[in-house]
Amino acid sequence: MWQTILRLCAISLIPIGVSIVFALLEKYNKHFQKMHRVPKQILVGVTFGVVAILGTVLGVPIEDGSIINVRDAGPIIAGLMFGGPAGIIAGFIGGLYRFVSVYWGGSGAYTQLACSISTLLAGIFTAIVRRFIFDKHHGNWYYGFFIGVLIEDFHMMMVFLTHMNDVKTAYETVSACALPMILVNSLAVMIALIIASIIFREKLFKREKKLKVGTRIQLVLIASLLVGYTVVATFSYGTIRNVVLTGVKNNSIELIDDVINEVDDSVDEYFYDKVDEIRELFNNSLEQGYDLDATIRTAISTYQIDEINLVSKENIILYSNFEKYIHFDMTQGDQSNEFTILNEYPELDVYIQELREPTSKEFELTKYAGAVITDNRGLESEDTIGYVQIGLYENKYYSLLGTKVISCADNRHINKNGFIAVASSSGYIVSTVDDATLGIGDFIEIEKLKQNDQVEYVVLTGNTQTKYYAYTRYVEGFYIVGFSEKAESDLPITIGFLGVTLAEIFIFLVLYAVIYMSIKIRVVDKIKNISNGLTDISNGDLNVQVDVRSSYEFDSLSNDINKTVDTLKGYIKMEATKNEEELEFARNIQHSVLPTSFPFNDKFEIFAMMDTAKQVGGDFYDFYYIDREHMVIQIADVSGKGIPAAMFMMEAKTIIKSLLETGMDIGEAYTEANKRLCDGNDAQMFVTAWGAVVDLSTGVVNYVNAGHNPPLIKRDNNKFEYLHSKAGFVLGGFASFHYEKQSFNIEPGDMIYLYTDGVTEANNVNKDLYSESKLEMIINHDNYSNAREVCEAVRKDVSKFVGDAEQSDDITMLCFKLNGNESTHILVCDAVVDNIPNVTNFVDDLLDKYDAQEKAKIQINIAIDEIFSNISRYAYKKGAVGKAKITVDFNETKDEVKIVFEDRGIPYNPLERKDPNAKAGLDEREIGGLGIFIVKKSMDSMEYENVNGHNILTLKKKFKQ
Amino acid sequence: MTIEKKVDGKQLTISLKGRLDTVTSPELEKEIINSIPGVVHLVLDFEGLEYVSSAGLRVILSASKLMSKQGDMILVHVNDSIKEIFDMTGFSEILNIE
Repeated sequence: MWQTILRLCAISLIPIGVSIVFALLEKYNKHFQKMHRVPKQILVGVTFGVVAILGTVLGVPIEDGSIINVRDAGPIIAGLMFGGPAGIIAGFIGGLYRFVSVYWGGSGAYTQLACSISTLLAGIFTAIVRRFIFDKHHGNWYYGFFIGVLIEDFHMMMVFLTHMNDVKTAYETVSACALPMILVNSLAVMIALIIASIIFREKLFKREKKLKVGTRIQLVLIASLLVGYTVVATFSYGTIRNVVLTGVKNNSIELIDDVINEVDDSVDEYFYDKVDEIRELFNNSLEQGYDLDATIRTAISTYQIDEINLVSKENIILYSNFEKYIHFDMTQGDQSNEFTILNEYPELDVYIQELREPTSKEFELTKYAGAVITDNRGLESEDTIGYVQIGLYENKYYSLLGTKVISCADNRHINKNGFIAVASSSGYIVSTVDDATLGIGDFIEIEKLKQNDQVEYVVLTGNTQTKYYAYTRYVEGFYIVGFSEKAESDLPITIGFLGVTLAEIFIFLVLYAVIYMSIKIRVVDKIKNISNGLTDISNGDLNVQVDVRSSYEFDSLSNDINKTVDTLKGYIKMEATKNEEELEFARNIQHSVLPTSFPFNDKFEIFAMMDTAKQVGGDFYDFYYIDREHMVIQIADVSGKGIPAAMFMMEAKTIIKSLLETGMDIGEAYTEANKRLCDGNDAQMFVTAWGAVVDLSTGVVNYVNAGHNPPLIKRDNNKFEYLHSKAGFVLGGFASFHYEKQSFNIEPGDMIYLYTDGVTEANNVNKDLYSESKLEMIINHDNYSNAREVCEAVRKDVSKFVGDAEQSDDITMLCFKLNGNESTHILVCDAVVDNIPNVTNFVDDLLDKYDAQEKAKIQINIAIDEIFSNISRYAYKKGAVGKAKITVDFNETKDEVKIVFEDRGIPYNPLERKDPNAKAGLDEREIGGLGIFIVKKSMDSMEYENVNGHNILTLKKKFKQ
Repeated sequence: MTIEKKVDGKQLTISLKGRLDTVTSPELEKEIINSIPGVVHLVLDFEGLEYVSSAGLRVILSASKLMSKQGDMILVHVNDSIKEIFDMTGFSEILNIE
């Protein structure tokens, strides 16, 4: 037995092993995971089909010759774990092989049809269950077990169904292999599922705080079906048993009755003959006049009877072999009285009485028979003999009749293994069937058999016990006992009950599946859908609609939920709208105060843009003239959001502008503006700002940095560079802060680019920031020819970077380009005396273009000579050679020239030099200073400025009328 | 600038054409220093001279100083611009200009 179990375990390992392999592939192998559904299902299905074939081939035989296999486990596992189609394919392959393998020498012809169909249907059934009950998951391992049970139950039913004409063999087959087949296959499926759960790290026991409604329903369903099953099983068992055993009893009793009749007849026949013969004897004796007593004695010994009585027509015993009986009145006792009938109706001739206790004595059975005597003496008197009565006592009765009865039970088989036995009152068997377990001479315990109508009786033959159902009847001193072999009689019960059980299991499992499926589809799943919808809503997505309409209740529920959400949405929208309106208002303020027309003329260009974020941030840019030659450019970033920020922004803008318009130094303007902004700034808002006053003619830029981002400056056709400068505190922060103006200067063609941190801190979906380096990169990416192009290029790059992310701050920028006149000419060269002719030629060419008068030209030439040689000689340290820049500009009417000499040498203001004393004598003359003097005298104006270490000398001369 | 020299006994005439400025004055200075030994009358002919800058003034002044020891110096054919410069700088007072 253990060997069988081991072998069964071994064959189970095949489907379990294959399922582990596939589970591991699914978990760890990317190729397998990514396989398309169809090829995957085919692969799994075919593999498990082969497993099923192996199951058929590697069956394990058990005692009665049946072969136990795990074929069905293959399609079930395939279907449950991997998919319906796989299961169906596996079932088809396994079933087909099982069917055809019989034809090429395989065993199992008896269950060929049953097994093939079951395997085929196993796959299909599992696919259905997976689709409808498990929602295409594989279900729990305990479900797997019960599906295995169901399939094998069905399998056993199929064996019956395919052999309805030979139920007994079917029963034998099924009863031998039902339990092992069910266990082996179900356990194989269950173990495979458990291992798969472990591989996929799923919980084997799902524990939830509150049972899901689906689970509750299932438990109730299971409980009710179990109760139903038990009731039906019990009832059907009881009924079948009753019916069968009643049948057995009736069958047996019928036979017994036949035997009774035979026995009865035999006994009667015997006695009739006997009493007839004895009557003839007495008839003869009477005729012949023989002595009646002598006749009696003769009869006793000849016919071996115990008692002879000659009874008169008056029912008195006249003669008897027992003296004591003479003169006995037969009418005195019930038993003896019966014989009176012979006197009353002599035509009866013979009366045979049943074996009974006679009147004369108790506890000893006697059988009497009487025959009418024809009276030959012709005397009508009390001496006339009416009839002769003979009596046989028990012992003689049994010994004489035993032989008579000996063949009564011959061939009286009850079914195949049962029989009839005839026994004497002591249980001594006098007649029975040949080769029955009881034979003539055996004893049966009559007392036991008499207890009940149907008694279970055990016969021991050697070491073997045979159980029988025994039915007993009594006739004429004999017990006729019918023995029906219990095993044989019980067989229909067992078969019937097995059939009912198989059918019941099948029906109840199917019922369970159908009911649960139905509830699940109609209720549980719908509830899950609604619950999911509500979860989405409660997670913030108010646009989700719950749309479960399958029945009145769900339709109503969906409507109610959606209505509630809509009402909620309405309230939220109202609030949002209020908020929106405020923001809109603030945004309008912000936009309305910004200058929107961007000048572009030959002196300068300005372009600016501001893209506000949803949350109004309060950036602003500004630009305006404060006089013909001076333009203010400004950029600022107000802290805070909404209307308060917008108003603070307006205040800052206005204050700064009005202060600058008074001509104030920008540092002072900011200082004063800051004071005023701090005053009454309860909300603690502040502004970062960068503003400058640009001198359009000299290119001098005086600026203040109030904690703002460093602007990018493009100079000398070089790249834009960040202008790092000392940063003052933010405006509105510290009331007594003193802002200092700083300066740099620009040339025509140079650009100043201002921006707010909305640019550098713009973020994309990954929360990366645009950054200052990116800004520097894009602004230097191309040689933009005007301010608008610069701004647009930056804006585009920032947009590309931000992508789909939401704009978090205002993106504000302003680009200023100093154009100068077209007539701006620049020469840069080494500050060496040898370059004087170059510079002179440079300027002369330009002067000639505008038809400068000769005299002015000469004066200008001299001026160039003087200034440039000064620079060459003194600007740079001994030995050092620096550069000088000469910028030539013409006015609009092209009659005045402006020449600017710029060097980066030692700061020196030639104007500080005192005019030489022209009247002084030759010897005292200081040559030095003459040059500057000449220039001063001959030029219309001469101005000096030192900006950031640059000496800037500006000459102006009108060169024609 | 071109420098032409004409010696006539004790008179040296230096004719200048072009400009007497920072670049060219060293040339004139050299010439004068080389040429005036033994000269009693130095004549500077500014016929073709466009202008004079302060560097030129310096050379003229030093030449004037030198000649005052051994004779005299006279400037001739000074154009208006140059004259103006001489006036402006007071050189007109100390130079003999014709």
